Amino acid sequence: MLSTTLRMVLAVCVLIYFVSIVFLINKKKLAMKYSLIWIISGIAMGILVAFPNVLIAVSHFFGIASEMNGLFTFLIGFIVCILMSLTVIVSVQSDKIRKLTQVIGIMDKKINDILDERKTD
Amino acid sequence: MNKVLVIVPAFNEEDNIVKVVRKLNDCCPFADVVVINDCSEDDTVEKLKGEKASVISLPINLGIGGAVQTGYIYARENGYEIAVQHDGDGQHDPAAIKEAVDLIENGIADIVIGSRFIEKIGFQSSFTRRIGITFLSNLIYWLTSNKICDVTSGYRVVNKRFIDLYSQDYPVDYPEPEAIVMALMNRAIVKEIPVVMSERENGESSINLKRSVYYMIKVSLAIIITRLSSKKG
Repeated sequence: MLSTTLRMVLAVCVLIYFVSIVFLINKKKLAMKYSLIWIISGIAMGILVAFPNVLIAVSHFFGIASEMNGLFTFLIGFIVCILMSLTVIVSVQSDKIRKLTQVIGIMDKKINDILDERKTD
Repeated sequence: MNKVLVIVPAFNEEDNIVKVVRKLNDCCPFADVVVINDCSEDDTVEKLKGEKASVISLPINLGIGGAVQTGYIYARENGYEIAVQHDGDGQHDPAAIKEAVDLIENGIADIVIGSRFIEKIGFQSSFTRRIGITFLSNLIYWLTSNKICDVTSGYRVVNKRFIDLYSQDYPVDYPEPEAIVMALMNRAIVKEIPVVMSERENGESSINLKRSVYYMIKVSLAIIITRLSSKKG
């Protein structure tokens, strides 16, 4: 069993976590679209902390002997998911930046061509 | 004669670029030249003033893949039928372009690659690089049953179909071998013709020893993934 002290500490951590997410979304520093994975992992952590029996059951289901190790494993799982989603976001954005750069380059040339034509007219 | 565009990607090539453009105009009066200035920090653009070449300046450095793709987009938008990829560092000899363009106009090939290793004349690259190139060449042969010797050559001529394909989708860094596999997966007929390449006169190659390990791993993986993700059997 998780000790009561540990559960209290974890509960406070999850609470702070949620408050920060809401704060950041409110300040428009975190896009709703990207916060989804943070919120989902927060809710899952909250459930595991609030209902230790769920944690024990899930840990045993995956063959993890101690629920503390189960908690760590799930945490690492969430972190991996978040990191992956970050990498996806970065890749999509670098692709968009590439396309923008190419369009700007070609447009710049068109504008210069038009300006040159005007000068010679 | 079809409309031909020569795409010259250039990053900090102030020492070579004018010579390259003049040589291209001499050898291929039938073609237009566009230099893609990949956010050079030197006087590459200034040097081109008054030369017979269009210049597209990218506001951010995209690397060779993004620069070349810009050329393909430009080619598509302006209705070019044939695009030639020609390095801006003076390693390629434009004399081979005519032959390659003829092969494409006669429908013999969709893509023509200028290869150092057919007649084995000119600069043959270092020993270690040749091992790498042979490995990649064998990997592509193994995955696609197409034998292409000089898979890293940046000297290419492609027809309209592949201008369209490459303008939509072109690999990002170290794109040459991957672009071949992409084309083969789209049922391209790829032919190689012998070209003479010279050693760089000025400036440095984009691939140094430190990067070559990354290069081999990235390119091999990319080739395998490209092969797996396309449907052609």
